[in-house]
Amino acid sequence: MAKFKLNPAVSKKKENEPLPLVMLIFLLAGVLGILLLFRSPAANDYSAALVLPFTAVLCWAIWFTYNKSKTAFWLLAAACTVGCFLALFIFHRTFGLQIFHTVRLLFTNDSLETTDLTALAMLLSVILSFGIFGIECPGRSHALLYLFTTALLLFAPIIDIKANIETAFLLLLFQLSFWAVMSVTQENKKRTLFTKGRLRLAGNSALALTLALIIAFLAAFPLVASSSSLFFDSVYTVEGFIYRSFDNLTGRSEQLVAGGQINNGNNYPTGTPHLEVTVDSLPTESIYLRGFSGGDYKNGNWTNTSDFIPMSVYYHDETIFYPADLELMMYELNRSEDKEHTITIRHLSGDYSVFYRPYFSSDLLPYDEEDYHFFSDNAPEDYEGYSYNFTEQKNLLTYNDYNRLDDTELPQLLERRRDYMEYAESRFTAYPREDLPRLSTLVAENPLTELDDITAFILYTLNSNAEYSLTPGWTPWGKEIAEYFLFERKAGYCQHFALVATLMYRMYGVPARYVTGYRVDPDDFYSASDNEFKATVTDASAHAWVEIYLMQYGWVPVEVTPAANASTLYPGLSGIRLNMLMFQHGWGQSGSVQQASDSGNIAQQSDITSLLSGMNVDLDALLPPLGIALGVCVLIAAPLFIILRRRRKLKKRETEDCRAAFYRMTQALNLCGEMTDYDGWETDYAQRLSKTVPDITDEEAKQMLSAVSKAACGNTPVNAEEEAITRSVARRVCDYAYQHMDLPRKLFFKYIKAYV
Amino acid sequence: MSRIVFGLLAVLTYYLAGMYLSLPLMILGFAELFLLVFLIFLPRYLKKHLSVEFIKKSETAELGGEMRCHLVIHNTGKLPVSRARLRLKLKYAGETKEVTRRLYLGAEKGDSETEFSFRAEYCGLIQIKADKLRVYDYMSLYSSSKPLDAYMEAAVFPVSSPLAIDLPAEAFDNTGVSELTADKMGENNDEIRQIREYRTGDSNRHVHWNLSAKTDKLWIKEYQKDTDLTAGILLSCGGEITTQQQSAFYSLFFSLALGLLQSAALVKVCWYDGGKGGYIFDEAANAEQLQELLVRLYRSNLSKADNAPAFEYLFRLTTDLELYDKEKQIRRFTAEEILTGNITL
Repeated sequence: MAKFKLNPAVSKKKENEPLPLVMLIFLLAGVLGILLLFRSPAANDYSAALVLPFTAVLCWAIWFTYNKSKTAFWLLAAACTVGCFLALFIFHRTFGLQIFHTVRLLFTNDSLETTDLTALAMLLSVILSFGIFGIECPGRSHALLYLFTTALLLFAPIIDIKANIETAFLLLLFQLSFWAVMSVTQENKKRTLFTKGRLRLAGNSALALTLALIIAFLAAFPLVASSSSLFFDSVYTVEGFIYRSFDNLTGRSEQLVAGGQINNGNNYPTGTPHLEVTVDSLPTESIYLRGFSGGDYKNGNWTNTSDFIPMSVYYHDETIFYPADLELMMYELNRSEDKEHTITIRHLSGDYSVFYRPYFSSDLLPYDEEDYHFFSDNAPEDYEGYSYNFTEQKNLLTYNDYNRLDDTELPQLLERRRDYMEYAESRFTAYPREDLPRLSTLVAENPLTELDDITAFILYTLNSNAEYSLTPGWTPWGKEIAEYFLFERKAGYCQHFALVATLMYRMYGVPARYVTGYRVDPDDFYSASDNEFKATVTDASAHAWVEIYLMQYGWVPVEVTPAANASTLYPGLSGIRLNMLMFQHGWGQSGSVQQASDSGNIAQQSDITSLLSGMNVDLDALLPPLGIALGVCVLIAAPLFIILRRRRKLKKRETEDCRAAFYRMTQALNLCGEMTDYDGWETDYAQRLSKTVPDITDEEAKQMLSAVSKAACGNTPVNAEEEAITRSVARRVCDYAYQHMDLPRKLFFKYIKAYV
Repeated sequence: MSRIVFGLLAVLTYYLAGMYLSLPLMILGFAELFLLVFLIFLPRYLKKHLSVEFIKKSETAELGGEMRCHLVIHNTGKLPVSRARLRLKLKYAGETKEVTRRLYLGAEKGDSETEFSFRAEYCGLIQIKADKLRVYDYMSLYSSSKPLDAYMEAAVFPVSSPLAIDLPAEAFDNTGVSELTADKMGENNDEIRQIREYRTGDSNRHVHWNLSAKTDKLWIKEYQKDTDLTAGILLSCGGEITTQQQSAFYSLFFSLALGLLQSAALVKVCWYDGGKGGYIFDEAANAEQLQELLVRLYRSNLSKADNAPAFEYLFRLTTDLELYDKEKQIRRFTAEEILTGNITL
């Protein structure tokens, strides 16, 4: 079989087609987009009035010289290179400091002062202008720059650089326009048919795509701005589905909750049952089952204090200090003898590596001594769980009943309590001050000494500055999660509320620990039999809260999460007293904490306002220039529209039929005040027309009338020649009419009616 | 691949916008999604306004020469077309299997002309059909195709190398070659156009004996209407042949006919057209007419005939490359020697 090797024709002479002007615009979009992104971090600043015009002029010079003379282009490149090296040599210290600042910003968590980076931005402008131009235009390669700019855009929020809308638009414009250009210019020449003006075609295609992009942006902006929460939620819905499916498939959903790692993402409970809790009477308060108490905190992670484990079960050496022993003794002093409950906790997964313990409870009840001597892997399948006696907080004695201790136990208790208080005040008031500058400043600027005042202030701070959400999104890389939650994101769930509250307590010198475990509400229980109420605890009941150490009661839980809907404070602080304190201090629920520091107004803002502020858009400041810009656009667009409309109509007139042409002609005559008493059917119309309009002969007028009559009433169609004569006569009549009109009519005639 | 990358990046943008609550990124993601929808429909719009036609419906070239095919691209839409793929199907007349080739093109608004070329390997009639046009969006992510009905023929002629045929003078007087009738003779049929040196294969009848005797060299008289005679060639089909053999057959016929035209005023050719179910009688008086005759031969379906034609012929040429003087085989050629142009009788 014959082989046909087709060879598309090539240009006979070497094609030296200039780069279209739109290429310069696309180049500028790329360079300016990156430069604006460079300016996005609060710590980076440069003189935009200097850098941006300089970039525009440089890009123009590159484009212009490349089109005019390659020698001039290379001279410009050489001059810029020499200039850059000279600047680096002369101002090496300035450049060094600015580069060091940028590197620190990118790779460290340090909070940096705003620095002027004009010199570095100018250097960057030169590098980017030549680099992007070289790769895109002579190099005809776009993939690398597309991926690079995409990475910049996507990586920016991860490191907490907030790209604003103009940056996003410019970079997208750059990416897509050059993509369109490359799809024309990168074609395999051996398989592409040659047509003149490939670059012009590429430019026009990219321009058409740009217009589509602008429309897409203009459509996306109001849509997203008006329903942003809906779209953000849609992301969480999908992510939640994936997470839950993954957790269920891998068995992660069955893992017990007892850890000190603060989740920097969203929380998607699967509803998997973890525990079965049985009580002998229906509780009236939420039961907090603590599984983990945090000791030291660093970078979103708490270390385990381990002293909640019922160590007395395993160790009986009285010479060793056991915080758990102290807790037992404290419980003995406070418990209400006639209002004690028994609680049994069974781990449904059979994993007993963690023990959960309610507050104000006894030691593990001795079902069988043997039961205590196992760890997770050894638990028998029919193990029914472990039990405690506990008293609800509201039923605790308001005093310590020392009579319950014998003569040897009381001094021991007092000694241990004092020692532990000292220990707790030193151990559980520590926090990483250097990592929490804004929170430290907030506490320092609101000095308080009374525990109740402190608690009220913490609750007020949390409630007025953050809202509860299981989907607050991800914390940017390197950001301190506590500060990000309270001052920037202003939304989170129990872990974030408990984290901030714990740190604030510690900052005020109150011993506090971050606790995770489960919270079982009275509503969760159902009656299993007489004197037996059961609750199946799922991972949705997993919770985090704060516990503070009180001399009289030991560790007590404090609920700080708004959505918990529980009034669990601590013995001695009632809801009424809390409200009173808030009123006294002027901490209305809708108020905000005033700070002198740069943490700004941390009051909760409406969704759109907060999002707009996230975009670095000041709506009030934006409106006047936006209005002016809109006005300018209208001023430019309206004449343009009229001119284009006139052109389109004139073009259509070149092929209009004779009746339309005749109608136009009579209209024109009427507008200039000629032959107003004629409507076209008079017998002497042709004669009068030729007399009125000197450019028209009597014969032509008659031919025109004949054609129009034929078109209106005749059985035979009007031929092309007759149509042409009619159009020609109409055109000349319109020209005549235009010459005999006053200015307003002329404008109307020319631009609105588009008759000439 | 590009579509997948672009789609994944748009989804990733949307996802990260949600995770980091970035409104600009969310708008970006949506703009990309809107743009994707636009790009899906764009090729459908563009293809409606784009068409491709062959400017000339037939082209010719000599074997080994460059065959140029001219195209005109019509874009009646408002938008330019950055990329379109034209599917061409090429085959030699008589072949069943087509060769598919694809070429890319772009078009501004209005009409633009372009061309492509190829070197034909064999003689014959090449049928070129542009049957499909696939139009891409500006980012070449999506495409839409439409059928086309553009068609042209490219005739590939053999290289002009007349076969040197040394015909005995009596051959014209006897069978196979007849005197032309008077009405076909020109008024100046015996007018000498020029005298030239003898070349191998020249007929003895045209030797200028007087001049040759004086100069001791053989000279040949060339007449304005040299030999007012007709030479007949019967083409017969010898069986299934390849394109290469067919090309060799056409080349041999062309050379033979050209050779005969040096001695005869007219070459009459007869063959059996299986498609029409009858004998075709054709004739050519010069090289141009012979090329036209070849095109008609290319188009016809040369087949075996059951009966002999009522046709007086001098030579019979078979598709097996056998040349007969009447029924006496003169020579059997090979395709290779014909295609290399190295043939003599």
